[in-house]
Amino acid sequence: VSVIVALMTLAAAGLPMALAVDRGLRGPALVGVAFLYGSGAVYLVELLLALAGLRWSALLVTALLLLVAAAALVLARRASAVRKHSSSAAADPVRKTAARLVDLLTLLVVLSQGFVTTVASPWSWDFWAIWGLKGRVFFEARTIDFRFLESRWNDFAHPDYPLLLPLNYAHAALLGGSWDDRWLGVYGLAFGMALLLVVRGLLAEECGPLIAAVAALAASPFALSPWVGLADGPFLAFAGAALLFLRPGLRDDPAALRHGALLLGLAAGCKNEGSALIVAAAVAIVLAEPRRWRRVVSLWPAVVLIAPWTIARTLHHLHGDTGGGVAQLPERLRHLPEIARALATTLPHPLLWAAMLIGLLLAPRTARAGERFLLTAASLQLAFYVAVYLVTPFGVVWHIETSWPRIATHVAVPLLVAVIVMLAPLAAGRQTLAHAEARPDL
Amino acid sequence: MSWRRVAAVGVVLLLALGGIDFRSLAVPLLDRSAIAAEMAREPDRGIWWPDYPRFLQAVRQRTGPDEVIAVVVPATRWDYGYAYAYYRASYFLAGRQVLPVVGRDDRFLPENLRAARYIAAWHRPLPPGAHVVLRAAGGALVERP
Repeated sequence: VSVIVALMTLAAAGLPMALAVDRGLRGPALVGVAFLYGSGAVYLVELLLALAGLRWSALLVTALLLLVAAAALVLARRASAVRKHSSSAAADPVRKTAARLVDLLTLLVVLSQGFVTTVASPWSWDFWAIWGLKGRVFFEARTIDFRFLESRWNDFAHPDYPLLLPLNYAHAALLGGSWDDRWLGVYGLAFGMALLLVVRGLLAEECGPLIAAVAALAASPFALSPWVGLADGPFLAFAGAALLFLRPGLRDDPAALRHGALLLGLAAGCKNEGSALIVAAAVAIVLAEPRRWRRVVSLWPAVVLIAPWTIARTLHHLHGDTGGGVAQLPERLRHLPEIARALATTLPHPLLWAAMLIGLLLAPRTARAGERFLLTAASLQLAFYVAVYLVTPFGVVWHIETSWPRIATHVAVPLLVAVIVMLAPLAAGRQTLAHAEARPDL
Repeated sequence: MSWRRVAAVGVVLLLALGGIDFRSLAVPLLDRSAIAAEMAREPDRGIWWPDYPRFLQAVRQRTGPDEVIAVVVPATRWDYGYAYAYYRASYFLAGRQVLPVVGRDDRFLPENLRAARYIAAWHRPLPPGAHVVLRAAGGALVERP
Protein backbone atom coordinates (compact mmCIF):
# COMPACT_ATOMS: atom_id res chain seq x y z
CA VAL A 1 0.00 0.00 0.00
CA SER A 2 2.81 2.43 0.88
CA VAL A 3 4.35 1.96 -2.57
CA ILE A 4 1.05 2.80 -4.28
CA VAL A 5 0.53 5.82 -1.98
CA ALA A 6 4.10 6.96 -2.67
CA LEU A 7 3.72 6.64 -6.44
CA MET A 8 0.40 8.48 -6.46
CA THR A 9 1.86 11.21 -4.24
CA LEU A 10 4.73 11.63 -6.68
CA ALA A 11 2.42 11.90 -9.69
CA ALA A 12 0.11 14.37 -7.91
CA ALA A 13 2.97 16.51 -6.61
CA GLY A 14 4.67 16.45 -9.99
CA LEU A 15 1.61 17.70 -11.86
CA PRO A 16 1.98 21.40 -10.94
CA MET A 17 5.74 21.10 -11.47
CA ALA A 18 5.20 19.87 -15.03
CA LEU A 19 2.70 22.66 -15.65
CA ALA A 20 5.04 25.26 -14.17
CA VAL A 21 7.63 24.27 -16.74
CA ASP A 22 5.12 24.05 -19.55
CA ARG A 23 1.60 25.36 -18.99
CA GLY A 24 0.52 24.00 -22.36
CA LEU A 25 1.44 20.38 -21.70
CA ARG A 26 -1.59 18.09 -21.85
CA GLY A 27 -2.66 14.46 -21.99
CA PRO A 28 -0.44 11.41 -21.59
CA ALA A 29 2.81 13.37 -21.78
CA LEU A 30 1.68 15.54 -18.86
CA VAL A 31 0.90 12.49 -16.72
CA GLY A 32 4.21 10.84 -17.59
CA VAL A 33 6.28 13.94 -16.94
CA ALA A 34 4.37 14.67 -13.73
CA PHE A 35 5.40 11.32 -12.29
CA LEU A 36 9.01 11.83 -13.38
CA TYR A 37 9.14 15.29 -11.82
CA GLY A 38 7.50 14.04 -8.61
CA SER A 39 10.09 11.29 -8.34
CA GLY A 40 12.87 13.80 -9.03
CA ALA A 41 11.45 16.23 -6.48
CA VAL A 42 11.33 13.69 -3.65
CA TYR A 43 14.92 12.72 -4.47
CA LEU A 44 16.06 16.35 -4.31
CA VAL A 45 14.09 17.07 -1.12
CA GLU A 46 15.64 14.07 0.67
CA LEU A 47 19.09 14.79 -0.75
CA LEU A 48 19.07 18.43 0.34
CA LEU A 49 17.65 17.55 3.78
CA ALA A 50 20.44 15.02 4.25
CA LEU A 51 23.12 17.47 3.11
CA ALA A 52 21.66 20.04 5.53
CA GLY A 53 22.00 17.51 8.35
CA LEU A 54 18.23 17.14 8.86
CA ARG A 55 16.76 13.69 9.37
CA TRP A 56 13.82 12.60 7.26
CA SER A 57 10.35 11.87 8.49
CA ALA A 58 7.24 11.10 6.45
CA LEU A 59 5.73 14.36 7.63
CA LEU A 60 8.75 16.55 6.86
CA VAL A 61 9.41 15.07 3.41
CA THR A 62 5.73 15.18 2.46
CA ALA A 63 5.37 18.75 3.74
CA LEU A 64 8.37 19.92 1.72
CA LEU A 65 7.17 18.05 -1.35
CA LEU A 66 3.79 19.76 -1.05
CA LEU A 67 5.53 23.08 -0.54
CA VAL A 68 7.47 22.62 -3.77
CA ALA A 69 4.26 21.55 -5.51
CA ALA A 70 2.42 24.61 -4.16
CA ALA A 71 5.18 26.92 -5.35
CA ALA A 72 5.04 25.23 -8.74
CA LEU A 73 1.27 25.70 -8.81
CA VAL A 74 1.69 29.44 -8.29
CA LEU A 75 4.22 29.54 -11.12
CA ALA A 76 1.98 27.43 -13.34
CA ARG A 77 -0.98 29.76 -12.82
CA ARG A 78 1.14 32.75 -13.81
CA ALA A 79 2.62 31.07 -16.86
CA SER A 80 0.98 31.47 -20.22
CA ALA A 81 -0.26 28.40 -22.02
CA VAL A 82 1.75 29.01 -25.14
CA ARG A 83 3.34 25.90 -26.51
CA LYS A 84 4.39 25.26 -30.02
CA HIS A 85 3.02 22.12 -31.54
CA SER A 86 4.82 20.77 -34.54
CA SER A 87 1.62 19.63 -36.11
CA SER A 88 -2.00 19.42 -35.27
CA ALA A 89 -2.90 16.81 -37.82
CA ALA A 90 -6.47 15.81 -37.09
CA ALA A 91 -6.90 12.07 -37.27
CA ASP A 92 -9.95 10.53 -38.85
CA PRO A 93 -12.22 8.27 -36.76
CA VAL A 94 -10.85 5.08 -38.30
CA ARG A 95 -7.31 6.05 -37.30
CA LYS A 96 -8.47 7.03 -33.84
CA THR A 97 -10.12 3.64 -33.42
CA ALA A 98 -7.01 1.88 -34.71
CA ALA A 99 -4.89 3.91 -32.30
CA ARG A 100 -7.11 2.87 -29.41
CA LEU A 101 -6.74 -0.79 -30.36
CA VAL A 102 -2.96 -0.42 -30.46
CA ASP A 103 -3.09 1.37 -27.10
CA LEU A 104 -5.10 -1.55 -25.74
CA LEU A 105 -2.37 -3.96 -26.82
CA THR A 106 0.24 -1.71 -25.17
CA LEU A 107 -1.82 -1.72 -21.99
CA LEU A 108 -1.92 -5.53 -22.10
CA VAL A 109 1.86 -5.62 -22.47
CA VAL A 110 2.21 -3.25 -19.49
CA LEU A 111 -0.17 -5.33 -17.37
CA SER A 112 1.54 -8.61 -18.16
CA GLN A 113 4.94 -7.06 -17.45
CA GLY A 114 3.50 -5.78 -14.17
CA PHE A 115 2.44 -9.27 -13.21
CA VAL A 116 5.93 -10.57 -13.95
CA THR A 117 7.89 -7.84 -12.16
CA THR A 118 5.76 -7.95 -9.02
CA VAL A 119 5.67 -11.72 -8.66
CA ALA A 120 8.07 -11.47 -5.69
CA SER A 121 10.37 -8.98 -4.00
CA PRO A 122 13.02 -7.75 -6.45
CA TRP A 123 15.37 -10.71 -6.72
CA SER A 124 18.36 -9.32 -8.53
CA TRP A 125 21.75 -9.24 -6.83
CA ASP A 126 22.11 -5.57 -7.86
CA PHE A 127 18.87 -4.75 -6.05
CA TRP A 128 19.81 -6.11 -2.65
CA ALA A 129 23.53 -5.31 -2.95
CA ILE A 130 23.19 -1.78 -4.39
CA TRP A 131 19.89 -0.01 -5.02
CA GLY A 132 17.64 -1.65 -2.45
CA LEU A 133 20.46 -1.90 0.08
CA LYS A 134 21.06 1.85 -0.01
CA GLY A 135 17.35 2.57 0.18
CA ARG A 136 17.09 0.36 3.24
CA VAL A 137 20.23 1.71 4.93
CA PHE A 138 19.18 5.31 4.36
CA PHE A 139 15.65 4.61 5.56
CA GLU A 140 17.05 3.09 8.75
CA ALA A 141 19.30 6.14 9.25
CA ARG A 142 16.56 8.58 8.10
CA THR A 143 19.29 10.29 6.08
CA ILE A 144 22.04 9.49 3.60
CA ASP A 145 24.38 7.44 5.75
CA PHE A 146 27.77 8.70 4.61
CA ARG A 147 29.48 6.53 7.22
CA PHE A 148 28.07 3.51 5.38
CA LEU A 149 29.08 4.89 1.98
CA GLU A 150 32.60 5.79 3.13
CA SER A 151 33.29 2.40 4.75
CA ARG A 152 35.79 0.42 2.71
CA TRP A 153 33.81 -2.71 3.49
CA ASN A 154 30.84 -1.33 1.55
CA ASP A 155 32.55 -0.49 -1.73
CA PHE A 156 30.58 -3.38 -3.28
CA ALA A 157 27.50 -1.13 -3.04
CA HIS A 158 29.13 1.41 -5.40
CA PRO A 159 29.02 4.39 -3.02
CA ASP A 160 29.49 6.91 -5.84
CA TYR A 161 26.31 5.93 -7.70
CA PRO A 162 23.60 8.63 -7.81
CA LEU A 163 20.73 8.15 -5.39
CA LEU A 164 17.43 8.99 -7.07
CA LEU A 165 16.12 5.44 -6.92
CA PRO A 166 17.32 4.53 -3.39
CA LEU A 167 15.85 7.78 -2.05
CA ASN A 168 12.54 7.00 -3.76
CA TYR A 169 12.57 3.58 -2.11
CA ALA A 170 13.31 5.27 1.22
CA HIS A 171 10.36 7.60 0.59
CA ALA A 172 7.98 4.64 0.21
CA ALA A 173 9.37 3.14 3.44
CA LEU A 174 8.95 6.47 5.25
CA LEU A 175 5.30 6.60 4.20
CA GLY A 176 4.76 2.98 5.23
CA GLY A 177 6.69 3.32 8.50
CA SER A 178 8.90 0.27 7.82
CA TRP A 179 11.04 -1.28 5.11
CA ASP A 180 9.05 -3.67 2.94
CA ASP A 181 10.59 -4.62 -0.40
CA ARG A 182 7.73 -6.85 -1.53
CA TRP A 183 6.22 -4.34 -3.99
CA LEU A 184 9.21 -2.20 -4.91
CA GLY A 185 9.17 -3.78 -8.37
CA VAL A 186 6.20 -1.52 -9.10
CA TYR A 187 8.59 1.44 -9.31
CA GLY A 188 10.23 0.11 -12.46
CA LEU A 189 6.82 -0.41 -14.00
CA ALA A 190 5.77 3.15 -13.10
CA PHE A 191 8.90 4.64 -14.67
CA GLY A 192 8.38 2.55 -17.80
CA MET A 193 4.76 3.66 -18.06
CA ALA A 194 5.83 7.29 -17.63
CA LEU A 195 8.16 6.98 -20.61
CA LEU A 196 5.48 5.28 -22.72
CA LEU A 197 3.06 8.10 -21.86
CA VAL A 198 5.66 10.67 -22.93
CA VAL A 199 6.21 8.85 -26.24
CA ARG A 200 2.46 8.55 -26.79
CA GLY A 201 1.75 12.17 -25.90
CA LEU A 202 4.60 13.87 -27.74
CA LEU A 203 4.20 11.90 -30.95
CA ALA A 204 0.42 12.36 -30.96
CA GLU A 205 1.05 16.11 -31.07
CA GLU A 206 3.51 15.76 -33.89
CA CYS A 207 2.19 13.04 -36.14
CA GLY A 208 -1.20 11.91 -34.94
CA PRO A 209 -2.54 9.22 -32.63
CA LEU A 210 -1.94 6.12 -34.74
CA ILE A 211 1.78 6.64 -35.28
CA ALA A 212 2.06 7.69 -31.62
CA ALA A 213 0.27 4.54 -30.47
CA VAL A 214 2.46 2.35 -32.70
CA ALA A 215 5.61 4.06 -31.37
CA ALA A 216 4.51 3.54 -27.75
CA LEU A 217 3.81 -0.14 -28.42
CA ALA A 218 7.19 -0.51 -30.13
CA ALA A 219 8.91 1.24 -27.23
CA SER A 220 7.37 -1.03 -24.60
CA PRO A 221 9.97 -3.87 -24.71
CA PHE A 222 12.70 -1.34 -23.93
CA ALA A 223 10.76 1.04 -21.64
CA LEU A 224 9.44 -1.76 -19.41
CA SER A 225 12.84 -2.79 -18.14
CA PRO A 226 13.10 -6.44 -17.10
CA TRP A 227 15.79 -5.48 -14.57
CA VAL A 228 13.46 -5.36 -11.59
CA GLY A 229 14.47 -3.04 -8.77
CA LEU A 230 17.53 -1.62 -10.57
CA ALA A 231 18.11 1.97 -11.65
CA ASP A 232 18.25 1.13 -15.35
CA GLY A 233 14.45 1.40 -15.66
CA PRO A 234 14.25 4.89 -14.09
CA PHE A 235 17.35 5.98 -15.99
CA LEU A 236 16.04 5.01 -19.39
CA ALA A 237 12.71 6.70 -18.56
CA PHE A 238 14.38 10.01 -17.65
CA ALA A 239 16.96 9.73 -20.43
CA GLY A 240 14.41 8.76 -23.06
CA ALA A 241 11.98 11.48 -22.02
CA ALA A 242 14.81 14.05 -21.91
CA LEU A 243 15.98 13.34 -25.45
CA LEU A 244 12.41 13.18 -26.75
CA PHE A 245 11.67 16.63 -25.28
CA LEU A 246 14.96 18.12 -26.45
CA ARG A 247 14.08 17.05 -29.99
CA PRO A 248 11.12 19.48 -30.38
CA GLY A 249 12.90 21.86 -28.01
CA LEU A 250 15.63 22.36 -30.55
CA ARG A 251 12.97 23.22 -33.11
CA ASP A 252 12.23 26.40 -31.18
CA ASP A 253 9.93 25.05 -28.48
CA PRO A 254 11.43 26.62 -25.34
CA ALA A 255 9.11 24.77 -22.97
CA ALA A 256 10.16 21.42 -24.41
CA LEU A 257 13.78 22.50 -24.13
CA ARG A 258 13.27 23.22 -20.42
CA HIS A 259 11.67 19.79 -19.90
CA GLY A 260 14.54 18.16 -21.74
CA ALA A 261 17.20 19.88 -19.66
CA LEU A 262 15.47 19.12 -16.35
CA LEU A 263 14.84 15.48 -17.24
CA LEU A 264 18.44 15.14 -18.38
CA GLY A 265 19.61 16.32 -14.96
CA LEU A 266 17.29 13.85 -13.25
CA ALA A 267 18.60 11.06 -15.50
CA ALA A 268 22.02 11.87 -14.09
CA GLY A 269 20.43 11.54 -10.64
CA CYS A 270 19.67 7.90 -11.44
CA LYS A 271 22.94 6.61 -12.84
CA ASN A 272 26.41 7.90 -13.64
CA GLU A 273 25.63 7.24 -17.28
CA GLY A 274 23.40 10.32 -17.03
CA SER A 275 26.44 12.59 -16.78
CA ALA A 276 27.72 11.05 -20.01
CA LEU A 277 24.30 11.65 -21.54
CA ILE A 278 24.49 15.36 -20.70
CA VAL A 279 27.77 15.52 -22.61
CA ALA A 280 26.31 13.46 -25.46
CA ALA A 281 23.28 15.75 -25.67
CA ALA A 282 25.46 18.87 -25.59
CA VAL A 283 27.70 17.60 -28.37
CA ALA A 284 24.65 16.49 -30.37
CA ILE A 285 23.10 19.96 -30.04
CA VAL A 286 26.27 21.50 -31.45
CA LEU A 287 26.65 18.95 -34.24
CA ALA A 288 22.98 19.04 -35.21
CA GLU A 289 23.17 22.72 -36.02
CA PRO A 290 26.69 24.11 -35.56
CA ARG A 291 25.64 27.67 -36.33
CA ARG A 292 23.32 27.63 -33.31
CA TRP A 293 25.79 25.99 -30.95
CA ARG A 294 24.97 28.48 -28.20
CA ARG A 295 21.73 26.58 -27.53
CA VAL A 296 23.86 24.14 -25.60
CA VAL A 297 23.70 26.68 -22.74
CA SER A 298 20.01 25.82 -22.35
CA LEU A 299 21.11 22.54 -20.73
CA TRP A 300 22.21 24.45 -17.61
CA PRO A 301 19.35 23.05 -15.44
CA ALA A 302 20.81 19.58 -15.94
CA VAL A 303 24.15 20.71 -14.55
CA VAL A 304 22.45 22.44 -11.60
CA LEU A 305 20.51 19.28 -10.76
CA ILE A 306 23.57 17.03 -10.67
CA ALA A 307 25.62 19.54 -8.66
CA PRO A 308 24.50 18.64 -5.09
CA TRP A 309 25.34 14.94 -5.36
CA THR A 310 28.51 15.58 -7.36
CA ILE A 311 29.77 17.98 -4.68
CA ALA A 312 28.70 15.69 -1.83
CA ARG A 313 30.38 12.62 -3.22
CA THR A 314 33.54 14.59 -3.96
CA LEU A 315 33.65 15.92 -0.40
CA HIS A 316 33.13 12.40 0.94
CA HIS A 317 35.70 10.89 -1.43
CA LEU A 318 33.25 8.46 -3.00
CA HIS A 319 34.86 7.18 -6.18
CA GLY A 320 33.79 4.78 -8.89
CA ASP A 321 35.72 1.89 -10.35
CA THR A 322 35.40 2.59 -14.06
CA GLY A 323 38.29 3.74 -16.19
CA GLY A 324 40.96 2.12 -14.06
CA GLY A 325 42.21 0.01 -16.93
CA VAL A 326 43.51 2.71 -19.28
CA ALA A 327 46.88 0.97 -19.39
CA GLN A 328 45.16 -2.05 -20.92
CA LEU A 329 43.80 -0.05 -23.88
CA PRO A 330 46.43 -1.18 -26.44
CA GLU A 331 45.78 -4.80 -25.49
CA ARG A 332 42.01 -4.28 -25.68
CA LEU A 333 42.31 -2.70 -29.14
CA ARG A 334 44.05 -5.84 -30.34
CA HIS A 335 41.01 -7.84 -29.23
CA LEU A 336 38.36 -5.67 -30.85
CA PRO A 337 36.76 -8.56 -32.78
CA GLU A 338 36.28 -10.47 -29.53
CA ILE A 339 34.79 -7.38 -27.89
CA ALA A 340 32.51 -6.75 -30.87
CA ARG A 341 31.35 -10.37 -30.73
CA ALA A 342 30.54 -10.06 -27.03
CA LEU A 343 28.60 -6.85 -27.68
CA ALA A 344 26.66 -8.46 -30.52
CA THR A 345 25.82 -11.71 -28.76
CA THR A 346 24.61 -10.05 -25.56
CA LEU A 347 22.61 -7.29 -27.26
CA PRO A 348 19.00 -7.43 -25.99
CA HIS A 349 16.23 -7.54 -28.60
CA PRO A 350 18.62 -8.00 -31.55
CA LEU A 351 15.68 -8.24 -33.96
CA LEU A 352 14.53 -4.74 -32.98
CA TRP A 353 18.04 -3.32 -33.31
CA ALA A 354 18.34 -4.88 -36.75
CA ALA A 355 14.98 -3.39 -37.72
CA MET A 356 16.10 0.02 -36.44
CA LEU A 357 19.27 -0.22 -38.51
CA ILE A 358 17.33 -1.17 -41.63
CA GLY A 359 14.89 1.64 -40.90
CA LEU A 360 17.75 4.11 -40.67
CA LEU A 361 19.06 3.00 -44.04
CA LEU A 362 15.60 3.10 -45.61
CA ALA A 363 14.73 6.57 -44.34
CA PRO A 364 15.12 9.45 -46.76
CA ARG A 365 18.29 11.49 -46.26
CA THR A 366 16.27 14.60 -45.42
CA ALA A 367 14.45 12.70 -42.68
CA ARG A 368 17.75 11.50 -41.22
CA ALA A 369 19.04 15.06 -41.28
CA GLY A 370 15.92 16.13 -39.37
CA GLU A 371 16.67 13.60 -36.66
CA ARG A 372 20.36 14.40 -36.46
CA PHE A 373 20.14 15.45 -32.82
CA LEU A 374 18.52 12.24 -31.55
CA LEU A 375 20.67 9.98 -33.71
CA THR A 376 23.89 11.73 -32.67
CA ALA A 377 23.06 11.87 -28.95
CA ALA A 378 22.05 8.20 -28.80
CA SER A 379 25.04 7.06 -30.87
CA LEU A 380 27.45 9.06 -28.74
CA GLN A 381 26.00 7.60 -25.57
CA LEU A 382 26.47 4.07 -26.87
CA ALA A 383 29.98 5.01 -28.01
CA PHE A 384 30.77 6.20 -24.45
CA TYR A 385 29.71 2.81 -23.12
CA VAL A 386 31.95 0.99 -25.56
CA ALA A 387 34.82 3.34 -24.65
CA VAL A 388 34.35 2.48 -20.97
CA TYR A 389 34.58 -1.22 -21.84
CA LEU A 390 37.88 -0.56 -23.58
CA VAL A 391 39.39 0.84 -20.37
CA THR A 392 37.57 -1.27 -17.81
CA PRO A 393 39.78 -2.60 -15.02
CA PHE A 394 37.73 -5.83 -15.11
CA GLY A 395 37.77 -8.63 -17.65
CA VAL A 396 36.25 -6.93 -20.68
CA VAL A 397 34.08 -9.83 -21.83
CA TRP A 398 32.83 -10.40 -18.27
CA HIS A 399 32.07 -6.69 -17.93
CA ILE A 400 30.15 -6.69 -21.23
CA GLU A 401 28.21 -9.82 -20.37
CA THR A 402 27.15 -8.48 -16.98
CA SER A 403 26.19 -4.96 -18.03
CA TRP A 404 25.62 -4.57 -21.78
CA PRO A 405 22.24 -6.40 -21.78
CA ARG A 406 21.05 -3.71 -19.31
CA ILE A 407 22.70 -0.56 -20.55
CA ALA A 408 22.35 -1.12 -24.29
CA THR A 409 18.66 -0.30 -23.89
CA HIS A 410 19.28 3.09 -22.21
CA VAL A 411 18.80 5.15 -25.36
CA ALA A 412 16.90 2.61 -27.42
CA VAL A 413 13.52 4.34 -27.04
CA PRO A 414 14.51 7.71 -28.55
CA LEU A 415 16.36 5.87 -31.34
CA LEU A 416 13.32 3.76 -32.05
CA VAL A 417 11.04 6.78 -32.01
CA ALA A 418 13.34 8.56 -34.45
CA VAL A 419 13.23 5.59 -36.83
CA ILE A 420 9.43 5.34 -36.67
CA VAL A 421 9.01 9.08 -37.22
CA MET A 422 11.36 8.91 -40.21
CA LEU A 423 9.64 5.89 -41.72
CA ALA A 424 6.04 6.93 -41.07
CA PRO A 425 5.76 9.33 -44.03
CA LEU A 426 7.48 6.81 -46.31
CA ALA A 427 5.16 4.05 -45.14
CA ALA A 428 2.19 6.34 -45.69
CA GLY A 429 3.40 7.19 -49.16
CA ARG A 430 4.21 10.80 -48.31
CA GLN A 431 7.42 12.74 -48.44
CA THR A 432 6.87 14.70 -45.24
CA LEU A 433 5.81 13.79 -41.77
CA ALA A 434 3.30 16.59 -41.29
CA HIS A 435 0.57 14.85 -43.19
CA ALA A 436 1.58 11.26 -42.67
CA GLU A 437 -1.68 10.48 -40.92
CA ALA A 438 -3.77 12.38 -43.39
CA ARG A 439 -3.30 9.36 -45.62
CA PRO A 440 -5.66 6.53 -44.84
CA ASP A 441 -3.38 3.71 -45.99
CA LEU A 442 -0.78 3.34 -43.24
CA MET B 1 3.45 0.60 -53.99
CA SER B 2 7.24 0.99 -54.19
CA TRP B 3 9.60 -1.50 -52.58
CA ARG B 4 10.83 1.21 -50.22
CA ARG B 5 7.32 1.82 -49.01
CA VAL B 6 6.68 -1.92 -48.52
CA ALA B 7 9.96 -2.18 -46.63
CA ALA B 8 9.09 0.84 -44.49
CA VAL B 9 5.72 -0.66 -43.56
CA GLY B 10 7.45 -3.96 -42.78
CA VAL B 11 10.06 -2.34 -40.55
CA VAL B 12 7.44 -0.32 -38.64
CA LEU B 13 5.35 -3.46 -38.10
CA LEU B 14 8.43 -5.39 -37.03
CA LEU B 15 9.36 -2.66 -34.56
CA ALA B 16 5.82 -2.54 -33.19
CA LEU B 17 5.31 -6.27 -32.77
CA GLY B 18 8.80 -7.83 -32.84
CA GLY B 19 9.62 -7.09 -29.23
CA ILE B 20 6.42 -8.38 -27.69
CA ASP B 21 6.59 -11.70 -25.92
CA PHE B 22 3.06 -12.83 -26.70
CA ARG B 23 3.35 -15.74 -24.27
CA SER B 24 3.82 -13.25 -21.44
CA LEU B 25 0.42 -11.71 -22.23
CA ALA B 26 -1.09 -14.81 -20.66
CA VAL B 27 0.79 -14.33 -17.38
CA PRO B 28 -2.10 -12.47 -15.70
CA LEU B 29 -4.26 -15.55 -16.32
CA LEU B 30 -1.78 -18.04 -14.87
CA ASP B 31 -1.35 -19.26 -11.34
CA ARG B 32 1.75 -17.33 -10.34
CA SER B 33 2.43 -19.12 -7.07
CA ALA B 34 5.08 -21.45 -8.53
CA ILE B 35 6.87 -18.55 -10.24
CA ALA B 36 6.59 -16.50 -7.04
CA ALA B 37 8.16 -19.28 -4.98
CA GLU B 38 10.95 -19.68 -7.52
CA MET B 39 11.74 -15.95 -7.62
CA ALA B 40 11.62 -15.68 -3.82
CA ARG B 41 14.38 -18.33 -3.71
CA GLU B 42 16.41 -16.63 -6.44
CA PRO B 43 18.72 -14.49 -4.24
CA ASP B 44 19.59 -17.38 -1.91
CA ARG B 45 20.17 -20.38 -4.13
CA GLY B 46 22.06 -23.50 -3.15
CA ILE B 47 22.87 -24.25 0.48
CA TRP B 48 21.70 -20.85 1.63
CA TRP B 49 17.96 -21.28 1.05
CA PRO B 50 15.86 -21.14 3.13
CA ASP B 51 17.81 -20.96 6.37
CA TYR B 52 20.36 -18.21 5.80
CA PRO B 53 17.83 -15.40 5.15
CA ARG B 54 15.76 -16.67 8.08
CA PHE B 55 18.81 -16.60 10.32
CA LEU B 56 19.68 -13.06 9.23
CA GLN B 57 16.11 -11.95 9.89
CA ALA B 58 16.30 -13.41 13.39
CA VAL B 59 19.64 -11.64 13.98
CA ARG B 60 18.05 -8.41 12.83
CA GLN B 61 15.25 -8.79 15.35
CA ARG B 62 17.69 -9.54 18.18
CA THR B 63 20.08 -6.65 17.52
CA GLY B 64 19.63 -2.91 17.52
CA PRO B 65 20.67 -0.07 15.22
CA ASP B 66 24.39 0.70 14.96
CA GLU B 67 25.45 -2.61 16.55
CA VAL B 68 28.62 -4.01 14.99
CA ILE B 69 28.16 -7.56 13.68
CA ALA B 70 30.76 -9.84 12.07
CA VAL B 71 29.57 -12.59 9.72
CA VAL B 72 30.98 -16.12 9.89
CA VAL B 73 29.72 -18.78 7.44
CA PRO B 74 31.05 -22.07 6.03
CA ALA B 75 32.41 -20.30 2.94
CA THR B 76 35.89 -18.95 3.63
CA ARG B 77 36.81 -17.71 0.14
CA TRP B 78 35.52 -14.36 -1.10
CA ASP B 79 34.46 -15.37 -4.60
CA TYR B 80 33.20 -18.77 -3.53
CA GLY B 81 30.36 -17.88 -1.23
CA TYR B 82 31.70 -15.45 1.34
CA ALA B 83 31.00 -12.31 -0.72
CA TYR B 84 27.38 -13.43 -1.16
CA ALA B 85 26.99 -14.13 2.56
CA TYR B 86 28.46 -10.77 3.52
CA TYR B 87 26.46 -8.75 0.98
CA ARG B 88 23.26 -10.55 1.92
CA ALA B 89 23.89 -9.89 5.61
CA SER B 90 24.46 -6.21 4.81
CA TYR B 91 20.98 -6.06 3.27
CA PHE B 92 19.13 -7.87 6.06
CA LEU B 93 21.09 -6.11 8.80
CA ALA B 94 20.81 -2.61 7.32
CA GLY B 95 21.22 -0.02 10.06
CA ARG B 96 23.80 -2.18 11.82
CA GLN B 97 27.47 -2.11 10.93
CA VAL B 98 28.22 -5.42 9.23
CA LEU B 99 31.85 -6.50 8.96
CA PRO B 100 33.38 -9.30 6.89
CA VAL B 101 35.90 -11.69 8.40
CA VAL B 102 37.24 -12.67 4.97
CA GLY B 103 38.83 -10.14 2.60
CA ARG B 104 38.68 -10.00 -1.19
CA ASP B 105 42.04 -11.73 -1.21
CA ASP B 106 40.58 -14.56 0.93
CA ARG B 107 42.65 -13.38 3.88
CA PHE B 108 41.13 -13.90 7.34
CA LEU B 109 40.41 -10.55 9.05
CA PRO B 110 40.70 -11.13 12.82
CA GLU B 111 40.61 -7.35 13.44
CA ASN B 112 36.99 -7.29 12.24
CA LEU B 113 36.13 -10.16 14.54
CA ARG B 114 37.62 -8.22 17.45
CA ALA B 115 35.84 -5.01 16.44
CA ALA B 116 32.40 -6.64 16.48
CA ARG B 117 30.07 -6.79 19.44
CA TYR B 118 28.21 -9.72 17.89
CA ILE B 119 29.30 -12.62 15.71
CA ALA B 120 26.60 -13.99 13.45
CA ALA B 121 27.81 -17.56 12.89
CA TRP B 122 25.83 -19.74 10.51
CA HIS B 123 26.53 -23.47 10.30
CA ARG B 124 29.87 -22.97 12.04
CA PRO B 125 31.04 -24.60 15.28
CA LEU B 126 31.21 -22.23 18.22
CA PRO B 127 34.15 -21.98 20.62
CA PRO B 128 33.56 -23.39 24.10
CA GLY B 129 32.06 -20.86 26.45
CA ALA B 130 30.66 -18.65 23.67
CA HIS B 131 27.93 -16.38 24.94
CA VAL B 132 25.11 -17.37 22.61
CA VAL B 133 22.22 -14.91 22.70
CA LEU B 134 20.24 -16.42 19.83
CA ARG B 135 19.94 -19.73 18.01
CA ALA B 136 17.90 -19.77 14.82
CA ALA B 137 17.81 -21.47 11.38
CA GLY B 138 21.13 -23.25 11.72
CA GLY B 139 23.00 -20.30 13.14
CA ALA B 140 23.88 -18.62 16.38
CA LEU B 141 24.40 -15.03 17.44
CA VAL B 142 27.31 -14.78 19.81
CA GLU B 143 27.87 -11.73 21.97
CA ARG B 144 31.52 -10.97 22.54
CA PRO B 145 32.64 -10.09 26.06
